[in-house]
Amino acid sequence: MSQGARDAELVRRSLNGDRAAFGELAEHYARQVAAVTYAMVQDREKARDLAQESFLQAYEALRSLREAARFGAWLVGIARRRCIYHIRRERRRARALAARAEVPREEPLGPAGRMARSDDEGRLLEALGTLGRRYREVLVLRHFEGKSYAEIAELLEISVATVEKRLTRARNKLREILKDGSD
Amino acid sequence: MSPESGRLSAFIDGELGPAERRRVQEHIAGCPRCAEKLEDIKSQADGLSRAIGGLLLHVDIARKVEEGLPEQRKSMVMVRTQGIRRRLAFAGAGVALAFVLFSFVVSGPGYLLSGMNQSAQAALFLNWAIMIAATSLLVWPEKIAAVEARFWAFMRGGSPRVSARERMIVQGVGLVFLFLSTVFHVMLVTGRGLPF
Repeated sequence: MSQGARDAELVRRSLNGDRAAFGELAEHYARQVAAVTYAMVQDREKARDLAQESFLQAYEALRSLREAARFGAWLVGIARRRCIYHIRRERRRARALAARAEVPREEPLGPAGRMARSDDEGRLLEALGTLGRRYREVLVLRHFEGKSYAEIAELLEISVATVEKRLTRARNKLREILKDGSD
Repeated sequence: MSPESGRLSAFIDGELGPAERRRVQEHIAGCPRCAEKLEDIKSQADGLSRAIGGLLLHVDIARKVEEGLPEQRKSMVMVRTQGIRRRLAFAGAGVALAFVLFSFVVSGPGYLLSGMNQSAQAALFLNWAIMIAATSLLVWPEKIAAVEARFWAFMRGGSPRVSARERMIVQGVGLVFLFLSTVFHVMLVTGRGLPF
């Protein structure tokens, strides 16, 4: 059975109140959603919370899913929107705080402060944070999940050629950033 | 920049067919720049796999999600109508309120109770109740939809679930009723009696 057909069956069972079926879907997609939310917010804890919330929201909204076979892409869409709301809220809060207390304004999602790790991995993550969101997404899905280009394409609803293009650009940019940093 | 250098990513990820793979390999053998780039990207890729993998390794979302589900069934987690729709709902309620207040100003405040016959007064009060109900549909659609879902779940069995579409329908109904009752109110108060 293809993943799409399996998803459709699990969605159908979930809609009939079978929570274990939804648990299976969560099992299968948890890491992928976490990869996407991590790419968006770059904070481990927040990424985990947001991924979890995305699943609960998906469960609640399951009836509005039109093509059950494309559950993955739909779920990723929910996760992305949740992250965008979250980022906006954080920004608003940071601005309000800065306006009220005259605290020096901090970029809420700036990678520098959060990833104060001196090792190579820290530097890599920091560099990752300076890339655009679309580049981070493909990189994280590729390196955290080891997804094939076709799988990434399906999940993000883009073409395989676009996946390759983004990965190439992302890696070239990372290379430049890391080179500049070490000079 | 050689054409092969654009495909280094696909090469590293094992996404190339055998013929192309061979072509890239041959190119790298004779091109130190691309060979260096390949090495860079490879070590960078390994580093990323380690870094991100280490970060998210213990993410046990699936179990937590499953644990979260039964609770959700009991309390029905409500996603509040967010952003623009919520603001529009408040704007609609605000406009209705403005109309109501304005109609009092136009008709003169003293007229409200003294100048109306009893049936018009009754209609006015009933209409106010409808307005309040419609406003609550408009502003808290998720709560109303949740009550409705519980009702249907009770009648038909199964678990109550609210979709975004149902919330929108509730809101739409609220909007229509609020509009009609506002028009009716203005007619009552300024038309000095029932319009029919």
